[in-house]
Amino acid sequence: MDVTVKLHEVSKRHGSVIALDHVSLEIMGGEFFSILGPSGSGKSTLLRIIAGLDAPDEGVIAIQGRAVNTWPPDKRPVNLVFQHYALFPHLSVFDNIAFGLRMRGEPTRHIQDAVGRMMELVRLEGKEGRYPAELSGGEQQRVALARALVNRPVVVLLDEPLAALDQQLRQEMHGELKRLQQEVGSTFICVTHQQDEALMLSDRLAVMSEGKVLQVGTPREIYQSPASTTVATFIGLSNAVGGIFMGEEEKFCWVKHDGLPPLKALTPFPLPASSFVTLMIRPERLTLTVQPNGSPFDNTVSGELVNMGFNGSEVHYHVRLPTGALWTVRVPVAGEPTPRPAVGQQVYMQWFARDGLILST
Amino acid sequence: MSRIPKAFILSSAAVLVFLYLPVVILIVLSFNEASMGTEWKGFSLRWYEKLLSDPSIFQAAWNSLIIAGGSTVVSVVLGVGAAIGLEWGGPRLQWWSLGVVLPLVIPEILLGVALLMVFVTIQIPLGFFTIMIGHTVFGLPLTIVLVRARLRKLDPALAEAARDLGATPWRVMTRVTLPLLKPAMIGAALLNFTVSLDDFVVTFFVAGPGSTTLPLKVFSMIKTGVTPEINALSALLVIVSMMCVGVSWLFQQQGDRPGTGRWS
Amino acid sequence: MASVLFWGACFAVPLLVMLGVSFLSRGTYGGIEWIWTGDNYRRLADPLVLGIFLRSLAFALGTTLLCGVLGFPLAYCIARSPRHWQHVLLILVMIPFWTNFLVRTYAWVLIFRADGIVNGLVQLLGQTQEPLRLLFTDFAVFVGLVYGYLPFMILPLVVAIDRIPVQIEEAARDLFASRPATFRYVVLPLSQPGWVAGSMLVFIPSLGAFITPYLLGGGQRMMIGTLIQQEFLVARDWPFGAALSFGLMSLILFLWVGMGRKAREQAVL
Repeated sequence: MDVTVKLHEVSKRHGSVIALDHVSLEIMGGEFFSILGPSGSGKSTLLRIIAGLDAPDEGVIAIQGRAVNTWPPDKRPVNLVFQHYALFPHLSVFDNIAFGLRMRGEPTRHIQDAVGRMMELVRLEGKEGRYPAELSGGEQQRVALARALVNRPVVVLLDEPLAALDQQLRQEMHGELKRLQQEVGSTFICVTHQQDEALMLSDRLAVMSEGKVLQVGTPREIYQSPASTTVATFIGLSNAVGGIFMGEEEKFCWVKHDGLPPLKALTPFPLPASSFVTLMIRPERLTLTVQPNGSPFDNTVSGELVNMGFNGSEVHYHVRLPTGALWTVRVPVAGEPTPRPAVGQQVYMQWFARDGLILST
Repeated sequence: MSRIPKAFILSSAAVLVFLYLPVVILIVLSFNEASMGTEWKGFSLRWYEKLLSDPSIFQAAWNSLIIAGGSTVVSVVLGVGAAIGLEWGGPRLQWWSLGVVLPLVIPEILLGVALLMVFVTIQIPLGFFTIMIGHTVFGLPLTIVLVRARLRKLDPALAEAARDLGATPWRVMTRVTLPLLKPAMIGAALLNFTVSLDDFVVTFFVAGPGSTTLPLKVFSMIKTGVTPEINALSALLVIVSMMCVGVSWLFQQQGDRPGTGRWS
Repeated sequence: MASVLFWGACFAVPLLVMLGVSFLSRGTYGGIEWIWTGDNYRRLADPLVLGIFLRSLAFALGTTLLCGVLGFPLAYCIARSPRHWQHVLLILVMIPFWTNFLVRTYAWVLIFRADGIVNGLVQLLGQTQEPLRLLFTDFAVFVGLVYGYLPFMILPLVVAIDRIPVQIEEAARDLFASRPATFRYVVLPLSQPGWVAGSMLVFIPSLGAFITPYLLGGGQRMMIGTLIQQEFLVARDWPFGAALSFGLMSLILFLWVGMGRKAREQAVL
């Protein structure tokens, strides 16, 4: 695979705020690439720079091997799906989708065909004559997608494409986006702050924070071996203990934190004894009980159950540790502890050493 | 990317120069020593001195203020009531809303001659009273437009909340709705006042002896011949307008965008 | 209620009186005589009067067009400036808007007079033949009208352009529209409410303008406004003046109704 979009040391300031801080990325042809980060991490600026809507202060942007820094947006083989769609309110669905082709001066016959096919692809047949204001949120979103895809751009940029949709539509659109990408074959670059979205959709993703790229990798790599606590937190690892690395023993090691028993974990990489580390445990890898049973878990931590919630398939517990930290436990309904714990009760959380992840602080 | 094309910036600058150059020339010339022509003969305040020693100027200014004050009070009091009535009166009042703004839409000269005919027909002597009525005819719709714009932006939940908390409709009006309308009312009052001060055309037709306002005075001075005194008076009027803009701007900031109306 | 009464008494009644008077005859010494006649309206067809109506229409149309051309770039700049600049620029446009119309027109008298600024400059440049005749020309009236009503075009346009999200323009650029194409296919159609409102606010008062043709056009360069004034205050032919006024009024109402309801509402608010 070739590199389709290459960013080299790209920086951008908005006044005194650094939106992008020497960002370098390589995105491959045909890839579904996500940029995951909290709002204000600079990810939208990155998209706008690729689209040509903002100019970088420093650095080079290359598309298909050609530096495009000075190219205006209408000359770049790139189309953006705007966060709030930015559909043209005065144009019908058909004219919205045909806009890009018309601006490029395609023959009318070709436009008719291409728009028709695209309407089918995004399942909007029969809505050609409607105006954006007459469409539901999901339909508007599909018009926005079609309007970008119909131009067969080398790269499709998506800015929080699903943020404005409700939960159920979002799930549907996950599959839809994947399907569309396969049909069109363009490279997709998608910006999102939803970790599940990024993990589910992407071939690879980059995690961004405060204008910097923290880690790039496949969803699996990032989920299983986050490079830092920031990445780990952002990917949904909310349970953390800071402690002192106590030394290894075979492949395992111990971490000590005041107020907690020594905790056993896999040694990720050589670490000097007595260095500070963070131990993180995924919420779905914890088991919650009212009475601890010794076997077969490696670690047990107790705390007070603060509240619990039920979302249909899982039960979520929030437990306050003696250290003051608040941990989350996610248990499938089938695996609910018996007897059921009550709020305010002392509960025990247990896990295997292999499910803990050590990160240097 | 929200960069504005260079050509637009340049032509905007040119348009601003076009808007201001004549006014600037006027002000500069008002300080010109020369009594004839536009040739610069040195800085002088003599035209201002001459102007300010003319008692009829003060009389005209005083007349203008009284008329503006009177028509503003009437317009705002009647206008707020009408705006609330129209806004909450439901769709059957729709044609009224159009009718009410008509005085703003037709050329001023039509208002002037129509009023003149009525006043003469029913033999109301032309003077302060007729001018005040004339100014209220366009002041009232101006108030209605501004207050309605504000009303439309009010959250109806506020009045409902007050009702829910036990306020009578009357108390809702005096304690909730009217206070919320205050910025719009002040804005409308300022606008009315300025428009009335500035009005020439309607005043021209319905004024009588002894009710000369400032614009009428300027007009009669222009008619009798161009003297630098007019420049001085005009410059003073420009400065007064600028101050009015400043004050009303501050109030608009609390209220909303200035509405579009017609006053010349 | 009180305002409805006031409206009726001071607006509707005068218009009806005007309509009535326009069918009466002129008295020997300027009064009205109660003899019903359609003569006044027949006189509207007089080539001289008709010519003045056409002139006024042409002036009003030209003024509207030129105000649009001059006003749009400035309105766009204001609407798309950073907030801080937007306030400054808006105030700059508001000041002439609030400055006495008479005074602003008079400023052009100073510029156009035989011993005015323009001729002063021409003389400085060595063109010392006789002074250019600028005052009391069609050109002077036209400049005065455009100058007088330009802010009325700019302000509604600013509001309309400000309402178009920047992203819509960016979307057009992203979809291969050049800058001019973005204006042509996106900004212009979407700012239509501003165009309608601004055109009304310029067209109607310039059609009925009185100060501008009076001061800058003099006695010869008449428009409907000056003609009406002359009939009322100089010739004292009220019935004919009323007929003229009603002609102007119906012309405007005709346009107003022709615009359709939606455009009307946009124009009013």
